[in-house]
Amino acid sequence: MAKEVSDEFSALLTASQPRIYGFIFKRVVNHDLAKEILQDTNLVICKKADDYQPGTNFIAWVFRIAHFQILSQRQKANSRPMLSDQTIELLSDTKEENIFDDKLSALNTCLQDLSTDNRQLIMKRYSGKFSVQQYAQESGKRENAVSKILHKIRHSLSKCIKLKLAEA
Amino acid sequence: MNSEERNKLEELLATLMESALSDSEQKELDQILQSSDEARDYYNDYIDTHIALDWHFGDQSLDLPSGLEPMINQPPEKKTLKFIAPILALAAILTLVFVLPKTEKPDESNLAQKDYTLLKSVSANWDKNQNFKVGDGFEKGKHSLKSGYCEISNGKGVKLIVEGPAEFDLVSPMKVKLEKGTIVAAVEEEGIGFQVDTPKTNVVDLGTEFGVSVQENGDTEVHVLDGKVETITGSNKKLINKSEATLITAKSTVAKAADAGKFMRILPEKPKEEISYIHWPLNEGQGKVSTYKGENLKDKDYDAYLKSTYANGNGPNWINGKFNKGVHFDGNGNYIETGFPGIGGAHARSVSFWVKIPKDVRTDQATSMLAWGSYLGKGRTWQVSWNWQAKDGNVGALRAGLYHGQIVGTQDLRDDKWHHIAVVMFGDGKPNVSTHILLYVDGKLEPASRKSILDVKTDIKSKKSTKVLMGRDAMAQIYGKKQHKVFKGSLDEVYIFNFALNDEQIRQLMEYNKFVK
Repeated sequence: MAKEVSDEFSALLTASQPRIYGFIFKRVVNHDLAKEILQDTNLVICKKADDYQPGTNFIAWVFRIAHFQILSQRQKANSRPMLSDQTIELLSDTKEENIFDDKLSALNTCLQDLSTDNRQLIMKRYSGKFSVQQYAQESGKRENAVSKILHKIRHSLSKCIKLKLAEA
Repeated sequence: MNSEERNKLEELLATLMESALSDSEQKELDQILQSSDEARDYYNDYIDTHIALDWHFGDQSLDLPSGLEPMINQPPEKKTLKFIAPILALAAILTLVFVLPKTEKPDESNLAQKDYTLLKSVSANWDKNQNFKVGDGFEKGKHSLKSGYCEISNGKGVKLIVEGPAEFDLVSPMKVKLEKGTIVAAVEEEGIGFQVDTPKTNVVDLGTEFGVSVQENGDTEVHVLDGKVETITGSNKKLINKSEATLITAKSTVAKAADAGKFMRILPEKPKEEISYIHWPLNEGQGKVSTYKGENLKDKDYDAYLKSTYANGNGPNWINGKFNKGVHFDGNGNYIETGFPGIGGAHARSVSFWVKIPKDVRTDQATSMLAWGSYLGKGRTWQVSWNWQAKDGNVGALRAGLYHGQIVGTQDLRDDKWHHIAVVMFGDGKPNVSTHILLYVDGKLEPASRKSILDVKTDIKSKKSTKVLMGRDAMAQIYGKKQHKVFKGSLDEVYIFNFALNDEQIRQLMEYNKFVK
């Protein structure tokens, strides 16, 4: 069993969970696999907690650990497909991870610009109140059509977040 | 990325968000992502939005890895991440230094026999020299609150918080007409059917809490904070549910998300139990230590130590202060360290002090007059300074910063004159920056030039938190950035209280340097 970590470390790690999950998911493009790797990554992070130098870039440190967990997953005999090494390498060049907090704040504002219907749909989808399948059945729409509406909302939110960050 | 690739990428992402991609789809995605920076940027932004939505709306899909449970001492049944943060925040709240005061509510059975009665008042300034005291009744008819806040009740399950400047007409026990300004109505079962009329619409309560805001031109916003209301605009009736809002102008009606941060939903209660405070008079006039006074404090060393970030620096200079002596920080290494942890979590608090800021001060000499807390997450710092960046509000105005959230006043303090400062936070419910923090300059409530929403959870427990500092940026102190960000200006008579000061107490501190219970 892993040893106990300090409150501060737990707080840092907790606050970083969405970013670590995002980092992994972007590279393995599979929700279940991303969750498994997140779990392994968290364990390694806690085991190595003493290696972390307070005041240094925590996110960069945990992303390195996550990166190695993704690579080790790929080397397993029964490994599931994920993005190619080359693509993963290219994704690592981006700096998206550093502004996630700002994106979260911008999202809050952008959600207010959505129509009531779209806001309710996205809220229900992400608060786990229904699955796309359930909503499709209830609303008489095809699942594919519901996915497309959700995609359009995400697309417009992404655009809005980008604009807000550029304004700031 | 050509349009075909773009369409394909969007199609693949739409699928990926709801299910798994097939092997061939995954290969297609891989190829598109290799093709251009544009594709990768879009992909990154899109997935960040997905993750941010997940986090924002409840984080249902991110399970806490079971291996983490023993490390953070949690009951095994709590398996989702969303439970961690509240537990950690709770730990911070549990470490308050002061004895927690209980609050009392006015005895509503003794209200005057008028339709509406004043329950609370914060810096309320009424038109025509009217002076309402708590417990006074209001006559029917028009009233004008020039500034400040008041809470009034109809004694029939309706409480209204009016934010000045506001003009309103008390039409009947169950109807108020709001001509201008902002009202928040909290309605219990007995008061269902209570109505707020505005020049553009009538809002009928159906069991709820809602905010109504009317502009000079009559444009009206209705925000439902809880329950639901019905708006009647001309012959149109519309139901508005919790978390929804509507903006009604002469030309249109637009639906929006409710913005709870726009409204003051509670006013401070009077503390019932013993209160605590610490006071550094800064009157020694010589030496490197300044002793503290106070009431109901733990018996610890809370003295103020005059220091410098330079090994051979002298620390702040003694000067003639507002009351007796004071200290001057030269903006080049001087600061004061204390052993007092500050007030933690979301507990009520007030700070009061005198400050004099030179006209030629630089923006890197803004932080801070007074600070404590940590940077281990949003809302964990409590730092009082002047605002150094225009994007957050008026530059030079009083600023209470919490790390990723702040409230900024209006008046530029950089005039080389002494100003009395008070920052007051209420402790009920779940305080956040915009709804629960009031700024006072020279005894007057300062209108906020800008504010942002954030939960207050000041960290006074973790090892990465700093005890109360004066004249020093908290982050620079915690992370050992020796020569960065020290405050330039003078301070005197610094107080920290474990409750929300009222107007009269602030006036007494300002005029007589006396705290009156």
